[in-house]
Amino acid sequence: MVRDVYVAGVGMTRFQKRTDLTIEDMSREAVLAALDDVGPNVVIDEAFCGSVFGGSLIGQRILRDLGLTGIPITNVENACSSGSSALREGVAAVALGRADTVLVIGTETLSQFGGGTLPLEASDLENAMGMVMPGLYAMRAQRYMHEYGATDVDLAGVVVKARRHAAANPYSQLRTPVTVEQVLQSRMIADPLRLFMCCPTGDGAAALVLATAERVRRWCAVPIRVGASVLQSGLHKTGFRDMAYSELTARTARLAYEQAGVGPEDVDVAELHDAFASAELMYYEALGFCERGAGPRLLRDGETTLTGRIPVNPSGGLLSRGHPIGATGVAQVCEAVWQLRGQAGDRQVPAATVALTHCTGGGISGLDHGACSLHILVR
Amino acid sequence: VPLSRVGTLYSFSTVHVAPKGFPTPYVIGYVDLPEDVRLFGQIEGATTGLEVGAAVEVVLGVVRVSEAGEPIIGYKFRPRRAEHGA
Repeated sequence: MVRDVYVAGVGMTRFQKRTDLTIEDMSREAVLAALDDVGPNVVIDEAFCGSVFGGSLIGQRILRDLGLTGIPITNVENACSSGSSALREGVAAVALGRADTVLVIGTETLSQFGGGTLPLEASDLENAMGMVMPGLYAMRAQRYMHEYGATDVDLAGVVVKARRHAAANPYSQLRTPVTVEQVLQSRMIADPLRLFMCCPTGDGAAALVLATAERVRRWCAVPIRVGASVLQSGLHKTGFRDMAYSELTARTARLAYEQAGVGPEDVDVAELHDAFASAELMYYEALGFCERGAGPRLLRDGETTLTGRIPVNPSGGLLSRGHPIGATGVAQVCEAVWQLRGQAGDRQVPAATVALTHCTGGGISGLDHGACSLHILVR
Repeated sequence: VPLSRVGTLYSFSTVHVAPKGFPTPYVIGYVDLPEDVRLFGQIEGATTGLEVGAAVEVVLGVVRVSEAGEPIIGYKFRPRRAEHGA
């Protein structure tokens, strides 16, 4: 039995450094906002919580003080895709008839690490040899620039767009507009990536409620259907790998488009995983928004701004909204739902009916990435 | 499988922010050996002007410093010297 799944409510905290709150309190803000968005009659049958550094039983710790106990609660860790992987489990629970309403949470507090690069799995050979996440993305960027002639001005352009969009997003961590010159003057992190080209460290939580058609009809004025929910992992390779193109994202996207019955040309708005500025250009290509090597051109032509052909990251993306890793995949869907409902304020993409969210990451040797998750949402 | 000591630099980056034990800046790179093996490692020596496609050779060196302050030795790479001078 496979049933249609809808998003009935969404909510999130502003992403920022939140040292005044525990992760449980912060997460409850997002959960209450999502429940409030659905309305007073909401009943939760099952919950999934995505987090990397939240610790054991993070979902139970969040929901206990809301009285949401006794129901099945599953905690999901999948690096940067933890939230989106929890979402996929929630979608499956409703689709397969196990639950009629599911709560999905993504949460993370990164300020506990005091800044710098994220701690990576120490047992991994590459990490033990000096790999850091910015370094991995930097090597991809270097190769991409080598093959396609992209420049650091192109990378800076991604940041300028992200900040401009984020200025209209109250949930965003970095809302001050920047110029290309300011981006290129920020300090070098891993050549060619400078500080402003890297997503900031912060804390945040996002939540959403999934429901069946029957329930969502009773609760929601504008139900948003989940058209596709796909998760893939990276392929292991010991030899040559084309690092100027994300095979993992392209493969996941192909499956998602197939599941939703749409193509990249049908997508009205996308939230993609711009952990580093160079990644956005490469993901334009892997998601099929343009040909290989044409990412910088798509950006320069303004096609990925709010009024362009395929607006990308109206929220400001990971670069500006922030990237508390386990929360990101759920926060992207919050933004997609606001866009599809027409509730995105000054960052609204006109008349959006199909939205795509893309969340990937996790660095271990021999894999493009640990995980990649795509969701397509339809009004 | 015996591996070559010389490979081609696929890509590289100079890292300025790293975990404890890795004195910055240092250069990292992916090196493709002719046997279709790609190795990740640090690149030492004259790294200014390093380019994609450069020939590099395997050397032993200090990869990081342990919490006790002891050097951890491993394989690294260094740009291969031109055979007939510059």
